[in-house]
Amino acid sequence: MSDNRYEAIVIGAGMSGSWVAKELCDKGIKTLMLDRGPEVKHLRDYPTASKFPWEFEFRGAMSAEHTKANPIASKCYAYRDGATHFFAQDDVHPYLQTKPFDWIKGYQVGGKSLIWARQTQRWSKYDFSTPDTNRFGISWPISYKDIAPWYSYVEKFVGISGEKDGLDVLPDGEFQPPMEMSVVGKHLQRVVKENYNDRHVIYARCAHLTDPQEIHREQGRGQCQNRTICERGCPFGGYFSANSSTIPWAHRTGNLTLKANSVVHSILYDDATGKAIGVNVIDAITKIQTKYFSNVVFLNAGAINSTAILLNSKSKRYPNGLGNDNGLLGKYFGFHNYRALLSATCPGFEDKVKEGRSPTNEYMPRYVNLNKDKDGFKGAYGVAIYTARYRKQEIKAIGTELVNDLLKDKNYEPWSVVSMMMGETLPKESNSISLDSSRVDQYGIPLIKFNVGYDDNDEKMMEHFYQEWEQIYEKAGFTNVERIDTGQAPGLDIHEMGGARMGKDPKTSILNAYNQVHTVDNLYVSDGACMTSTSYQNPSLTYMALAARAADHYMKRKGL
Amino acid sequence: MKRRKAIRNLVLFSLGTGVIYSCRDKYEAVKLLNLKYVQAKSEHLDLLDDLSKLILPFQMIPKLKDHTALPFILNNVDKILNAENRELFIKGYKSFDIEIAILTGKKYSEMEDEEKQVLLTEFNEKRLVASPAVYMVFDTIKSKTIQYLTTTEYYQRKVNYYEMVPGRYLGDVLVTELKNLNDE
Ligand SMILES: Cc1cc2nc3c(=O)[nH]c(=O)nc-3n(C[C@H](O)[C@H](O)[C@H](O)COP(=O)(O)OP(=O)(O)OC[C@H]3O[C@@H](n4cnc5c(N)ncnc54)[C@H](O)[C@@H]3O)c2cc1C
Ligand code: SF4
Repeated sequence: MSDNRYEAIVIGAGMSGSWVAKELCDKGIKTLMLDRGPEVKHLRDYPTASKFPWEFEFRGAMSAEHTKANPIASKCYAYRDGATHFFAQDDVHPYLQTKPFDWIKGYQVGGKSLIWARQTQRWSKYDFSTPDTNRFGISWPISYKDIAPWYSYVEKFVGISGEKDGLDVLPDGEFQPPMEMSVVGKHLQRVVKENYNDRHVIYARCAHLTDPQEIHREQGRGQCQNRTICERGCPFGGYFSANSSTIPWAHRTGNLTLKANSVVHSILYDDATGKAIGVNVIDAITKIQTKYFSNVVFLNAGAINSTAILLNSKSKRYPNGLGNDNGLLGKYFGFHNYRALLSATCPGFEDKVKEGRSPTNEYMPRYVNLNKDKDGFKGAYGVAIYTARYRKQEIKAIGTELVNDLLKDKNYEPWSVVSMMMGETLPKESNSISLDSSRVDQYGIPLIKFNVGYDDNDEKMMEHFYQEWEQIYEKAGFTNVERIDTGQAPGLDIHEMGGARMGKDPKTSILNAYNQVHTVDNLYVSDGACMTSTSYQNPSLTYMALAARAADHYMKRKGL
Repeated sequence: MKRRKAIRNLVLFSLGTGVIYSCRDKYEAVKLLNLKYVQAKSEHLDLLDDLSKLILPFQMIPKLKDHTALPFILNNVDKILNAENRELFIKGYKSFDIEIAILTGKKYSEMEDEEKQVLLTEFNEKRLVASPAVYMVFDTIKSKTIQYLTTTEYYQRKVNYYEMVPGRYLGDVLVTELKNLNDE
């Protein structure tokens, strides 16, 4: 291999790209993986991972200067003292919005896999067929059967804690032992079971090792210690991140070249052969441009950046962006509606608490619109359920009395619950991302412009959720029930999907069933940009499965 | 306990020194913060420290007897409070003594501890007809001193049972059976 030629190039060293790299390297393919952000080496580059709360300057708060420079990132719950260095800073990475869109970015080797919440629910047969049964968008070119073995494959390596719940709406996977529900979670589970046939409260599956197996020990990872400060990087490798798992694995094969600080400007296309031949890269520090060449390119820069790179890859054959014959690139961009919350107090259980910290929560898989859109809106929703019992902080007094109030041992508020609708949004042509060539970033790349918003279907779904869950709360005996609409902008759900959707018909989609660009078969877009619809589950498990499947498809074509 | 200690030792990171302020070096500690906006004279530092200690005298806890929340409070005022509240706070501590003298006939700095207690109780119950600036001083000192105490290592370990490496999580435990692993 010459310095700039590789068999394969993977753009983006995050959750999905690292899976492609691992798969290719395992089969002996010399692979170059490029990432725009700096290197983050497992253990070495987790400067705050073992810092105690009292060791931070502001002990949980953020400086006004910092918040002012990062008005969007600051809205993310995980953007807090100790983890800000794993988020791209707003003032350094601008973008344009015609409607509010809160884009949370993780630009470093490992991408957002370092800071994700590790929720990993499979899609079911219902989710892949919702566009057909609920009559919106276009059909998926794949079904649950196509992806099921890849879910299993990824789950075994990643390590997913979960219960075998036996539900066809949320298929079981290859699970590590589950964690324990709270006493209120168990109560709610019982109440729902007694009152409904179609609904189930479970403990959400998450990418944490509760019983590491040989495959995890080989990765150098150990058991989760329930610290729940995962977004700082985990010294035990207790949760899955590209940095603790797939990247070091790929490195160990000797087949991976990883170049950090390498901003991919565009993909090089050869008009004569009709193939992608490499990438045009700008060094993030020196700004020097370099071209790298390969036989195949995998695009895994995250749904938004992958779509932007395609739009910015213009040639004689593709003046509107690579693979964009139908003008749909950047359109049908999706996200999840996380606006609706229902909070309440849970009387009883005064003698019980949680001990320690759980990295996951109770959860209800979808129960609406399973086989047709009969619930007054289209699409699915699931519900994340957060039960808690907080320490009571009595701060009314002053002086010695105040000290004594604060020191009172085992003094608790009543149990409380907050349930959050995780809503599917419908793919719409008008929900789009595009490039604005009149404004460029520090690398001379046109800024990304968002035109993404909610619609009437989202509002109807929220109303349905509120009504249904008020009834569930009533049956459970919960009081002080309060509807909350956070009004949060799209984007803060951090589940970016679509822009280069998969489909059966090249006239209405950009990618085929194996994530290949319809008209450029050596270019795979194997991250969330490929999503035909959004369903409601946290999407990264599906991205990883699709990425591994796409890499396998390429290798099978090569006879590997 | 041995197992947990061993695991902790395996953690390959420097644990950081922590930010603990002791009463004795409070002037020095404030100087080291290089504050941009809060440029308090020593008499004002003494006033603010005194208020903090009377509002929440956590120094009565033997393990915290040498602590002062003052540098933490001022750092927060300087870097976290919005400009409006910060200016109010600065105005408040500068006029505190005079305003209290007008209101009560005696400067705060000349009051006996018992008199101060009475005054602070009136503040706490919002019975004193004082300016928003002076109230900003009282309210900020109270909330930030509480934050300081409740985030000390002592409080986190002994009252909140904070553990970095507990190795377990239980969702359904009797309050009476709660264990403080730090005591094991
Ligand atoms: C706080 C938070 C919580 C989340 N919780 C969950 C959850 O519980 N469950 C779940 O399923 N998902 C969750 N997510 C979403 C999850 O992190 C993403 O879905 C996932 O990381 C997407 O994988 P990816 O490979 O597409 O992108 P990323 O992991 O973001 O990786 C993309 C990589 O591409 C690089 N890149 C971008 N542009 C370029 C370019 N031009 N040139 C070179 N490199 C480039 C980036 O630096 C990055 O490293 C969460 C995200 C956040 C931030
Ligand atoms: S909760 Fe588990 S995975 Fe997360 S930081 Fe703690 S030990 Fe690591």
